[in-house]
Amino acid sequence: MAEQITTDFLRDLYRNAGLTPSEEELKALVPVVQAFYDGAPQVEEILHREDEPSTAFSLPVQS
Amino acid sequence: MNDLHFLSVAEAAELIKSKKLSPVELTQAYLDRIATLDADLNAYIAVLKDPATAEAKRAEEEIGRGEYKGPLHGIPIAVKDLINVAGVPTTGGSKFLTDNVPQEDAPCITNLRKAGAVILAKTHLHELAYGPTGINVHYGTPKNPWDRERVPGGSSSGSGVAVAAGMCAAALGSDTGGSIRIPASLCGIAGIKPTYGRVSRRGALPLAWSLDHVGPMSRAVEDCALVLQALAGHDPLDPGSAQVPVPNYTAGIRQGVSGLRIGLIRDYFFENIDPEVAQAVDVAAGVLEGLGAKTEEVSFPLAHQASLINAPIIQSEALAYHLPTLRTRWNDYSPQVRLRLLGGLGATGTMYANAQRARAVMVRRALELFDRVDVLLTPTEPVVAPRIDEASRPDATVTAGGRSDGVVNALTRFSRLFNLTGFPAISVPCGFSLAGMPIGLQLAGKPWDEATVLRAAYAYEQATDWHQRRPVP
Repeated sequence: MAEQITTDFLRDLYRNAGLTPSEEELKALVPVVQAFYDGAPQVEEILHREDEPSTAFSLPVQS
Repeated sequence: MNDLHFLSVAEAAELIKSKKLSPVELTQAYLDRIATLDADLNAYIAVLKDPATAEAKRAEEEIGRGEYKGPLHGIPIAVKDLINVAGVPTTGGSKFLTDNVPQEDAPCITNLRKAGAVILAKTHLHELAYGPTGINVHYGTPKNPWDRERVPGGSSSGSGVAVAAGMCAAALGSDTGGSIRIPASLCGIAGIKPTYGRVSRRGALPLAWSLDHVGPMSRAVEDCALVLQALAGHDPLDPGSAQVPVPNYTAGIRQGVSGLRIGLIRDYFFENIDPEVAQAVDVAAGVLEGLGAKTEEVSFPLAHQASLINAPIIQSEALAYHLPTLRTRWNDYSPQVRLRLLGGLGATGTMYANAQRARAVMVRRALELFDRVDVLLTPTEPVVAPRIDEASRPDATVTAGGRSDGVVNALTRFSRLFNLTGFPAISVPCGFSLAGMPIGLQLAGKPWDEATVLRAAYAYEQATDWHQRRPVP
């Protein structure tokens, strides 16, 4: 089950990054960040269905 | 000569080359047009009247001496105000970059100058390019010339308005999730996002490095080809720039589409869209079939998961760039853009890496489509331009096909797939709604095959008259 995001969690997250969103902003960010946590298993499922090395993440080769 | 301001680049180039039209006269026509319209339309943040006039004069003298550089010589082009023009502030549509005056042109501007173009003005944009509507609380929102109560689309909003209203010959935009194609669709013009790495992004304010593109916007497809020809090329100082030969984009543009294989994507792209948009795009597909193209329905891999893949990438990269400034200039960001940026901290590093891996899966599987087709055909947008007052609300939504969606997701969900894959994609007008608002057709091709995309778009354009309609006389 995906982590349930709370404003307390976010307040600490942003404080550690040197940012202080308002309480209203924190509330608005809850569904945004929740969507990342809810979506992550779906992205992992995409990768799980594919064979390596096609799921490699590489940087553009310099020419 | 009447209607100079609505000449295409190709038309103006012929007249300039034959010395029937002076670059000075053409530049002055645009300056006069700007003086007449822009107080209302608000496309421009800076009009470079004296430098542009001097450049036009120089072009006139060069051409008079027989030193003709090519179809962009003496052509006035507007530039989105996140691309550096030496000596002119690059504000990015933000409040904290008003003193950001670059000493050098971006390479794309250098390329335009080498081709003899006149740099006319800097256009407004959605703040920091982080939005698809064009709404900007700092500088005001450019108005859609087809209906001034509606958004022009973004983030290259001012460029879209300037081109549509005949206030420049062509313009530059940038595109991270659709920011060239969205205003092109909503303003009824052509705009192409080239292949990722085709045009240097150095000297353009980044939004998301792995998704950013620079490209042209114009009133005609051939003009996009002409401007792209000047822009394209390797820049060893742009890490995302590719060393790939640049073909002649206009050489085959009139070849037609007989035998061209078109992949019409209904799955995802025809879900939750305005019936008028669906009908216009279906008719457009029929036009291309009438010209000899062969259409088959295909599906775009992982289209329904595109939001899950795109969000960690664009939001993480955008926040990475802005994090230092957010710490010191918090209140100089608009609340809406600030909130979008803050969201990026919620994606973990693992989420970002996995999103990039899933993106690689999407690219690999999408490339397989081009074993069967030459271009992909979709609507550019699910709707026509929303109203400014509705799109300005913090919780703004767009309703299409009976489904309500956030305005950002609604306006980017068809375009961002080609930022994720890096494939070239163009938007051209394919009709108007009953309310008189433009509808856009998106054609996309395989990497480095802008030529086929332009050929298909040109054939469609020439078989219709949408591109000849004008919002303002």
